[in-house]
Amino acid sequence: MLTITEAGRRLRAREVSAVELAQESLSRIRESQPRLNAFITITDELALSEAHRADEELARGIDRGSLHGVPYAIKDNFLTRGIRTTGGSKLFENYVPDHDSAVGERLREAGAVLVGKTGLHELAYGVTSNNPHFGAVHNPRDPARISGGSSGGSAAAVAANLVPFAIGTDTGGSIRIPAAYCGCVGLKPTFDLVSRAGLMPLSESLDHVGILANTPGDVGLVLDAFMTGVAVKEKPGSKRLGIPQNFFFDRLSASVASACENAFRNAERAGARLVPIRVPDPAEINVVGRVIQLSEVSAAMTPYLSRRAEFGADVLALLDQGRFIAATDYVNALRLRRIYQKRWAELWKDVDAILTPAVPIQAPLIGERMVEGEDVRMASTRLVRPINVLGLPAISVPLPTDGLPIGLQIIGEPFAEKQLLELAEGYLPSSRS
Amino acid sequence: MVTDWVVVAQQMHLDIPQTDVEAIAPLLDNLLEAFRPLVAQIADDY
Repeated sequence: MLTITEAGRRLRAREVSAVELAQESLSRIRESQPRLNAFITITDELALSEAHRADEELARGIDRGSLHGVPYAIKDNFLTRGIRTTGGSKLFENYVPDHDSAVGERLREAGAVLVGKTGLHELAYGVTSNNPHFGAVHNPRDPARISGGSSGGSAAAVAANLVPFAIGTDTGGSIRIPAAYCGCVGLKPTFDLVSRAGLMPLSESLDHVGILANTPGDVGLVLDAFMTGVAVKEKPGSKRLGIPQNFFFDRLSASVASACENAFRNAERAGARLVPIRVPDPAEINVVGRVIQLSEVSAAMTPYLSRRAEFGADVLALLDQGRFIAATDYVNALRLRRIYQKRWAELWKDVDAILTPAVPIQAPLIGERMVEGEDVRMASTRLVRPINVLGLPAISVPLPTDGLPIGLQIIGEPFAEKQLLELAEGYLPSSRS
Repeated sequence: MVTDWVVVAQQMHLDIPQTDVEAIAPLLDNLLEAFRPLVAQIADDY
């Protein structure tokens, strides 16, 4: 599959039509389904209709911009008018919304072509995308392994070149984790920068809408479509890269540690300055985040909690835990969040971005519960969850590796998305650029 | 079990089977044991 930039060039040069791009994407998706199961619903009819419209408009001189005629996929927890939206849950297996999400509307206005709804961890509440109701999403790099989650289908679809970009959500790492495990770029923007209207809510203080693609440049093009009329920070030439001396480099697999070290050396050679820093306690922030998330998800799912047989075992155990969190603990967790946000805000005086691994391990096998002595869910989330609590933008970019993909996380100050994307392209060699 | 979550479930009228409560009890204890000391920091919130 082409990048967005290349697809756009070829469309405007009349070397390919939007219908042909959609057909190619749909054909790849169909061919890959038995192996990857990246999609819950494939929207052939809608895709071809939208592609025809895109071609007709281009022929009439109407050009909606970079995404015009470009196929994409969206996680199946975004409402889609007339197309079922399951949330990866048995509860909603036949739910057909009567309206679209804000993100879906915006992408249609930008001329993008929806080819399908991607698989996810049940209710977006987990990191494996091993879904008891719709089957496991498999990792394109090794189908015996998890895609990561919860946006596993979106990451698998991009990494397997089924679509040039996909939309996901990230509540505790759910874009960056699968991006790292599958080997694509995943951006979690600043909290609420991208509208959550029409997203099935999970945890209202932590849910973020974001983008997965194969290059930072393509992620930027999709972000531009969402950012019409929104000012984001421009900070050209940013190159003070903070390297945390606490927490983020503890308990890494040897491959992850080595890949990160190589990336840092390359960034230095490219002219970046590495700045050793200490960051306000991410382990504590993770605890705060778990209290918030458990409480909010159980609250959001209140109407369905009595239907116990319709939940997978892991999700049900989390929902049960959330029902025991006292209101005082939840409110105090939100107050603590503000304290940690203030403490982290001090860091941006000394650095322009912070580099960490996105996940400390490479993709586990499907069904594997423990890796290197640590629970897969805890290992997968511990380096990314703090950034959801802080609401900061962060991107996972794939690093060069001989084996399974490894993701580097770049964290920035609020609204520094463009800066992070420029850093990813300018200073950090990616395996997918 | 630090807190008797089975009793808490009964007091809260939660329709969660006792075996399921017992399974998550250590997780709740661990989480709250880690969380509650953090609350002392809130003094500098305002």
